[in-house]
Amino acid sequence: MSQPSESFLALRGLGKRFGEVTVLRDLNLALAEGEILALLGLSGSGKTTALRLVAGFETPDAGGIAVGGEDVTALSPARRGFGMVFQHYALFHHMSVAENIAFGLEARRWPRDKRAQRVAAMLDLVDLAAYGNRRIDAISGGQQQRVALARALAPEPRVLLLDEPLSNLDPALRERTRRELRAAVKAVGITTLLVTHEQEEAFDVGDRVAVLDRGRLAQLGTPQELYRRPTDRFVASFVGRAGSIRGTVATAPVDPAGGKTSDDTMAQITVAAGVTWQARAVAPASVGEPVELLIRPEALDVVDASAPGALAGTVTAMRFTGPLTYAVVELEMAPGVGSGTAGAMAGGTTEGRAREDRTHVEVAVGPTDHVEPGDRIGIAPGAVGPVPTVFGLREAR
Amino acid sequence: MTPASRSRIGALAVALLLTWLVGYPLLLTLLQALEVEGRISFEPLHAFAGAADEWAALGRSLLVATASVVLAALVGVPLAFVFARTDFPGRRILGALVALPVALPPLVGVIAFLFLYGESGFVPRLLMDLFDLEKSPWRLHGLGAILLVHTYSMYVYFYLFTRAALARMDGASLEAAASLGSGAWRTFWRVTVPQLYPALLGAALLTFMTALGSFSAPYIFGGGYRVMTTQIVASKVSGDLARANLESVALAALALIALIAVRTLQGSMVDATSAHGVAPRPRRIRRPGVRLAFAVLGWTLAIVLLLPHLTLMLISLVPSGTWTTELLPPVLDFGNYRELATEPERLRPMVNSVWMAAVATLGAVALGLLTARRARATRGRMGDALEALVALPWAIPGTVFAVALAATFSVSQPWFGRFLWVGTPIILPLAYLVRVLPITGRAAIAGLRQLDPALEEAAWSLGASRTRSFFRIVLPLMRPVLAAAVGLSFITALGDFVVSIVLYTYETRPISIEILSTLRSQSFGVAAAYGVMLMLLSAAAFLVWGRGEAAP
Repeated sequence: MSQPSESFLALRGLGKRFGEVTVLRDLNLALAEGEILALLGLSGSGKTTALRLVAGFETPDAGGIAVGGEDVTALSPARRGFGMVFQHYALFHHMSVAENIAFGLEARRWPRDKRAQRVAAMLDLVDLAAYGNRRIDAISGGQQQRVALARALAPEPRVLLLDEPLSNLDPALRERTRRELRAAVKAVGITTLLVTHEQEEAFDVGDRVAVLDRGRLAQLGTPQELYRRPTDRFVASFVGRAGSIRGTVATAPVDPAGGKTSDDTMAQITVAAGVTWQARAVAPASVGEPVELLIRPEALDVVDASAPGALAGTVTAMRFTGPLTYAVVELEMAPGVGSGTAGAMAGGTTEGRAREDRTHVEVAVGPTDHVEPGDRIGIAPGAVGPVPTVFGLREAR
Repeated sequence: MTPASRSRIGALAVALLLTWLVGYPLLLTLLQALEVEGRISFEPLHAFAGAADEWAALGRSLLVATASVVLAALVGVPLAFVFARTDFPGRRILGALVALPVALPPLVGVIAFLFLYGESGFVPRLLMDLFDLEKSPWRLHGLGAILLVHTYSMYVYFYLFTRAALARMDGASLEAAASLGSGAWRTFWRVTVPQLYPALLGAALLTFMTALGSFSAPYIFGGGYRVMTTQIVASKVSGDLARANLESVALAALALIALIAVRTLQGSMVDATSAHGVAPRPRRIRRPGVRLAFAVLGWTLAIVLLLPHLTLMLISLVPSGTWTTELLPPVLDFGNYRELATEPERLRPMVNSVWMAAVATLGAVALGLLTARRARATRGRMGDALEALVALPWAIPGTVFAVALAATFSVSQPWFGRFLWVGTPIILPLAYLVRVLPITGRAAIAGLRQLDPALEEAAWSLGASRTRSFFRIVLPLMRPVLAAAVGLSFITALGDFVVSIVLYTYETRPISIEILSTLRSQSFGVAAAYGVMLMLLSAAAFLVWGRGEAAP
């Protein structure tokens, strides 16, 4: 694990309510100096609120924020010394590019000559040296994004806050800008909190990623950890693709270290009569308990429908995404699968229920597999790829 | 004939009509001003340039207009900030109430002020009673009185413009400034105020033009303090038409110079409000003491602003001759209203005002729509010319237009487009129409511009004729914009005083003229009752048509 040895920016038990709605509860995060942490979540997950609390635009109902050991919770935004890049940049359209960058320096009463030097250095950093005198309306969206970054970095802030900084760019431009952004931030070496709803952006820019789900921290870890070892049902399905299969516990999770379950506690799960798969358990479970298995498409291999340890099904569709092709497999009914699922309970008509009852799983098709819609195939966990993760169905969510 | 040439001919016809109504009278006024014994000469100009009293009147007009802008801004802008940025009990209703003076005819405001602050008004009476004074502590007249009335009625422009701009402002720009270490003061001056410049300039222009053309306040309160509008009317009334023409030309020139100067300034300005973003939420005031202070201040303000109109209502209930030296009127009844309703000569002005305002509004809507459609169909230079012509009366003080129309339509020369209409019931509705044409015309142009052309094309492709698609598709979609313009036009024409005083006849006298003559004959109760009727009619028009969209 990459727990930082000492934290520079610390969010301690942050909580915020707007009226009746709790948008953030007990958020604890610690960033090492120079670390980029991405806050990832859907809209309404509380990520933007968390960022605005750190920036000082909102006051927390609980908890506090500390930088380098100093409690800044009571400081106004102007006194925190944090730089921020806003979602729509919030550039001052009545000032030129250079005036925008100089604004924070004037506010902090930098002497004139140092100001000019700093503005030039910042323009260089974001590769806009020739654009200082341009009007904001006269530069492109990507350039505006860079001006916003330069403006935020100019007063040498202690912490950089990025609020969906790339969401306004074209998809093609976004990927390149993502790398430039990370390079620029790393060159400065500033501790950075990034808010985004895009998993790719969080993975690409962040050293670590904190996934927020409805106001709580679902999981914190490196991108690899989140993908390969999700400890949370929401994280497993939100980060990357995952299929869901129902099963029952065959052998209870055994913790090699004894006592509490760790990340590597393994359990055997019966997914169909006579078919038992191994999976990581993130919580204790007893034998016979119904559980849900989340499986990455690339963790499944295409095998014979009658192969031992395989689930049989029919290919209903192929999805070609460029680098990978996925087969959508409709699994045949099996004990422990489909019975009493959430879909069946929610389904209205008989027809709807029948459709809901069927379990569809995506499997990555290798270059040597010849699969077409209508084929009857088997799927089984492969030797490579992330191990499926078990989540209890009874868990109160 | 091809469709293209047909549309060009249509545009030409509309342009001719507009030129005849708007441009031609002004041109004739200019020519007549320069005419000496049947020939154009610059002699009158020389004489004018050497006349000290003319320069003094122009100077006073300029001073009144400039001071009105400053004072209106000093009241309206802080008020807008209070209502847009803080939250206190009663904020919503007060925020709407303080915009009220914009919907009321200037003359009504003026006589309400007279009854409240004039020498025998409520406030002086109260002060005399309280401090045992022999006579009123002040006289409501001269520059001070004019500016007081102007501030009262024109701060609304600054208030509405600033509030709209604050509502559009991106709250993130303020947060960005704060995160860059900028304190509240610096953020205000460097970030907030520059984003308000376009709105402030727009409000300043509107206030300046309104104050420059203002007639009611200088006429009633000015006394010896002659501004150009009152000077023009005085010249006209004394029969010195040449002088009135020349003075009109001078005032129009001043107005146009101001307009061009401000437009140039506006052109060089970037609209700093970004397309994105949400305005900052009004800050809830938490401290109970401060909350109470704001509420008390807000309500006091609203009462002060509404007091003139409440006074007017009270005076309208006072029977003639019953209120002499008492602090409060001893008798109140509806006698004045009964008189208005039952005596034919009292009823006539109201009937006159309503039908003339209605005809003028209808005509202005039709002409505005026609212009907007032609301008859109032709585009290019012809389209620009049409739009400029339709907006021109806005830039020309009402008095000037009245004098110009009087000069144009007081002889019968049908081949020169001049008819003997002065003294007939035609001239006042026509003059009102020209006055309100910018309101309907600009609304029609804006409404048509917002409309997706594909909608009309879709109607055509479905087999609808041009006429049918216009009445079934275009007009219904433009209704909200047009309705607001109709309401505002009707109110403007209904309460008009500036144009009426130059062009009315006894038979066609409108409410405003009758208010003036009842004031002169000391029938204050009847004058107030007329004022209240004007207020009620305006309010009704506002409610029926202008709901929420009375953009100035």
